[in-house]
Amino acid sequence: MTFLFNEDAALKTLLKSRVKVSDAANHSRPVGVWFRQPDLEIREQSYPYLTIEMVDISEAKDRRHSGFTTLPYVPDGAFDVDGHVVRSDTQYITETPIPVDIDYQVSSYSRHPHHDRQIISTILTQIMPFRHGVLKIPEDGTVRRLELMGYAKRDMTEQGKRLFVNVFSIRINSEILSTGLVALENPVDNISYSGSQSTNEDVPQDN
Amino acid sequence: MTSSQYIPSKITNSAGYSAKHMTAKLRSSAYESGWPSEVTRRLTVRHDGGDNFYVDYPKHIEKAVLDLEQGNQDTPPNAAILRFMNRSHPHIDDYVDSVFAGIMDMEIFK
Repeated sequence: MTFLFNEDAALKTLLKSRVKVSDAANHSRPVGVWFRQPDLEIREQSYPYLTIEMVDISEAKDRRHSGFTTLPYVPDGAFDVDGHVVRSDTQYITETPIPVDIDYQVSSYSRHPHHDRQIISTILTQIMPFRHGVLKIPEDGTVRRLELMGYAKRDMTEQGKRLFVNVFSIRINSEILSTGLVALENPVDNISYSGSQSTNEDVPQDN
Repeated sequence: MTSSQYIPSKITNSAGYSAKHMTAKLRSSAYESGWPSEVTRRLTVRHDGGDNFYVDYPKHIEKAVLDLEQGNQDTPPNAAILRFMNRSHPHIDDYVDSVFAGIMDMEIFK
């Protein structure tokens, strides 16, 4: 997988693994996570549930750099300038990637107020606190910032039934390669030197 | 009155001009995103008198705006306001430039 697919998958996996609800009928059960709204028949049977929507991708000009760099990771699914798929055991040099922000909207839908509170609590304390949230991308071994940009409560009444709705606006940092990757044939992994005398010994002495 | 006493009014004037310019941009970009004109023509960018610009709209269209921006169970989100805010750097740069240009004018040509 590649850019955007990896972020989608990581976010969905994180939500699925962490968000659980419990009630008198069931000790603990995971909450369903969907990209966009599931079909009406499915969602009627699966409250509470979460939806993920990708709402924007924008260049992160506040993190922009120029110049060439050795990438500290190997982008998943990228190709080098020769058209070969990149290898995880090789170092690559390229122009500094373009930083981008991917904005997602995560919404929760519950019929039960207790489930609603459990979801809010889990998301705000375990997944995306207002600061220092992280998202691990296993495909390339990176850890991305996961920022909570906003939270809104949007409860409503639907066909005479209460529906508890929360909207979490989140941002995941990513980057896009601007030029091809060039493999370093003999990557330098350490620098060593040896010498038997100090340069000071070459300085003529007065006496 | 010294020139520094004109600075607050210079900032207010520049903020007002920038907010007006951003309002036009926001309305056109929301309309291009598919928002209905009866909603877009009521969107306004305002300056809070401090450090912030914000998007304002009448209370009676709040639900329509949020349903468009954040979606609901029937329609996906169409985040025109968020997209506008993410691309507002040039407008903010223009605002800051105009403030500094005004202050420099006052200092040089006082």
